[in-house]
Amino acid sequence: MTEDSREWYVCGIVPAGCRVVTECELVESGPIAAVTRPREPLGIAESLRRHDRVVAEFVRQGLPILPMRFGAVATGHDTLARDFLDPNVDTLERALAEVTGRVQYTVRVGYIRDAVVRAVSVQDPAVAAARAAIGDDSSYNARLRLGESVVAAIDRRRAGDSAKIAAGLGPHADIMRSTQATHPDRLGEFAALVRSEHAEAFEAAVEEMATRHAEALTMKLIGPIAAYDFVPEL
Amino acid sequence: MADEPYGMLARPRPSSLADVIDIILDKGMVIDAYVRVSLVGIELLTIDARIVVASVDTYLRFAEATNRLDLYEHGGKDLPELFDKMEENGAKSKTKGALGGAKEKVSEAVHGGADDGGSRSGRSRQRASARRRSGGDEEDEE
Repeated sequence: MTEDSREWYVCGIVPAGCRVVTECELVESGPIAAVTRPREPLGIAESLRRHDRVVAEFVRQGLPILPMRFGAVATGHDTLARDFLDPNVDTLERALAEVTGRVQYTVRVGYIRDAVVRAVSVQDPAVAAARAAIGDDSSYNARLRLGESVVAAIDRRRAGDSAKIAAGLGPHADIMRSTQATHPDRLGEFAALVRSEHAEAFEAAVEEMATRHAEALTMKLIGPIAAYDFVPEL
Repeated sequence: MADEPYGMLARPRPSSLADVIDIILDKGMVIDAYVRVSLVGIELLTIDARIVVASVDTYLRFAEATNRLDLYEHGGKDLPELFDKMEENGAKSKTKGALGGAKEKVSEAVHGGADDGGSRSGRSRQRASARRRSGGDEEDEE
């Protein structure tokens, strides 16, 4: 019997016996199944879109899914089951349980430039000194030093600002993970794993925070999406 | 009944590829290397947080931003308070597992061709034009 040697993108792990989403096939192993779709010669952008679409459809239907990072390709369903699913059934089943009944939101927060520049200019002595130096010397180097001091001041305050956002949104999530940005226009990113029945309250909390800080911060809410930030390391 | 507060949260629905690409390329489960699978090679420009240094251009822009400041005319509001408002939320935090270190990726192959075709549903995003003068150059600075 010839083994399946077709190439398949692996999109995620779901419970076995799941209702199948279009354009994908499930490969089962005990209580879990891998979501696969045929690897077709499409452009990268279209492949990415399909990956996102397939995973998002499971989320939309309320089915638990551990999303794969894009790009995993398996040669043959048998190989996939034998080499990846079978040896990891217990880990995957446990991880799937962790995201069952939960969705992820990603909140991206940026600084409104004039507002944060104004804030550090008022609060930070190093910036005040650099500004004062400009008065006597408006050379290129002096301006460079001023800009550098402003960026450094933003870097210094970022951790505190990030902690405050996490503290404000954290109570509405089961798990909250924050990542600080490096570009001075950005504050950071917050990945939240939220129970489905609490999703509306989480969204409202983000909306309220965005409104309250509309003059200082930009906020973008992505989600609900699959739990990309809350998958196990294998 | 008073008007509802105007929404200030960007909520692209559906999310465009540009919104989720960092997530699906950088997060999610990875299959162990020795399994007979392969990762599709994608050209990514990765800026590691630990070694990135803001460009001279960035510094000059931020120096110029201080020139635009009108520190003494903002309706009497003490601007540092704008950030201190974050402390007004007295709820107890259940924050767990904060990660440090940001890794920002730009996918040239996709950002060049990615459409921003997702319609923006819900409330439009309005920002007082006087307060943001940096134009659309935030993305260009990457």
